[in-house]
Amino acid sequence: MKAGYCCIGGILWVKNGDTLLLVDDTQRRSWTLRGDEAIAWELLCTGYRYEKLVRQLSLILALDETAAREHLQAMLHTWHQKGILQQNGAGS
Amino acid sequence: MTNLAISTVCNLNCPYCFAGDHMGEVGGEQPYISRETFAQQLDYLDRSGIDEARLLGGEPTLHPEFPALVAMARQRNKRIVVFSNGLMRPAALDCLMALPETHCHVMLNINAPALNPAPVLTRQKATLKRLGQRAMVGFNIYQPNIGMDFLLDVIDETACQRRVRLGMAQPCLSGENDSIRPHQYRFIAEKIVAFARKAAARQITLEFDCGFVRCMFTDDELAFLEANGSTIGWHCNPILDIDAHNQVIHCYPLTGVGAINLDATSTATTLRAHFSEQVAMYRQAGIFPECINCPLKQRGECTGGCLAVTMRRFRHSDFAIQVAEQEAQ
Ligand code: SF4
Ligand code: SF4
Repeated sequence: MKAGYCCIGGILWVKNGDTLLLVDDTQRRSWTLRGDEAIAWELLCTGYRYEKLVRQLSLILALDETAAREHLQAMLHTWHQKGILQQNGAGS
Repeated sequence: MTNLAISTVCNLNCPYCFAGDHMGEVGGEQPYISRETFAQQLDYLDRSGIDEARLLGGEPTLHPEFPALVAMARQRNKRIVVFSNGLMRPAALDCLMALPETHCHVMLNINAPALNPAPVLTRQKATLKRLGQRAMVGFNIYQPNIGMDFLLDVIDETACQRRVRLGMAQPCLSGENDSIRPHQYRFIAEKIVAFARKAAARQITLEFDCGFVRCMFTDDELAFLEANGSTIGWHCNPILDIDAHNQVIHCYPLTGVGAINLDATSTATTLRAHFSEQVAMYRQAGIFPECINCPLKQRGECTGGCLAVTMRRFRHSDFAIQVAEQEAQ
């Protein structure tokens, strides 16, 4: 079984050096992503599949694949908790 | 300040025009403000304690009732400010000439020769000559490699005010107009300073529209400009533009961002607060990636440039990712 996440509607982002600024225009909220989170977000926005994303993260962050997978899961979970992501099919 | 856009039509077709979304056709549906709506906008100016009626278009003087609108504003003791391309009807020009010099200011925009056929410039010069001290020249820099020296001759020839208002063409959010890109700012700053030196030699000063940024000029260049009477605000404030149907926008390039209708209680203070809130999140960024950590921005000495440029840097994030179900818990 597959489940997934997608970005909630209306989120825009911009890269400023190694920092990303995310804004949710519809709900007037904003977040700043730095470090690993900024890297993961940019990779997500390239449209990579999950497994490729894990591999890329493991290379960029010099983690083994299991650690990279756990790290990514934790980030996705955090963004979900913050309301940046929603689970697929949850509507926008 | 608030600009009242009384006409949605224009008799020129400038490639950098950022009023695109608001422009209509001559003979199209309601291209001009009605007297009733204009009176509501004058009420708004009164409520806001604003003593200027700043008339904008399209080309505002094309409004068939332009003299009547000017008279209405004068009855409220407003100073008349007109943003025009100078191709105005005799009745419009006569009505401006009938105003006391202290109560009439025409910002006459002249295009670069490549965009301005000679007969257009001839007419613009004739208008400037007639308006004399009621008028000053405005110029929009819409390409980096643009010559401005001819403006100094125009000023000498027409005896209008010895000032030039420079604007930098900013993009509409749709990006459909010609505009200057931030990486071209530094090159443009050098051209402006070279122009300012020639202008200063002829006792002509420069003024700057919104959207210029502090880091485009070196300290020495800035000192020179200021010593020669230029004022640069590094500002991007909600000037507020109200269209012919009482729709209020932050400014033309940001058409559609938080637009609201003017009502009987709106004041410039409440509207500005509304727009400031609408764009606050975007202001954190700036036109350059460096803006977010810029000490000048942190000290409030630069707003980070034109918000329309900043907002066009933002990207959509419409990704979806499939993960194993147990990983999505
Ligand atoms: S805030 Fe941005 S545009 Fe303004 S001076 Fe700093 S780096 Fe330049
Ligand atoms: S967004 Fe700011 S700088 Fe850009 S045109 Fe509007 S007021 Fe001027």
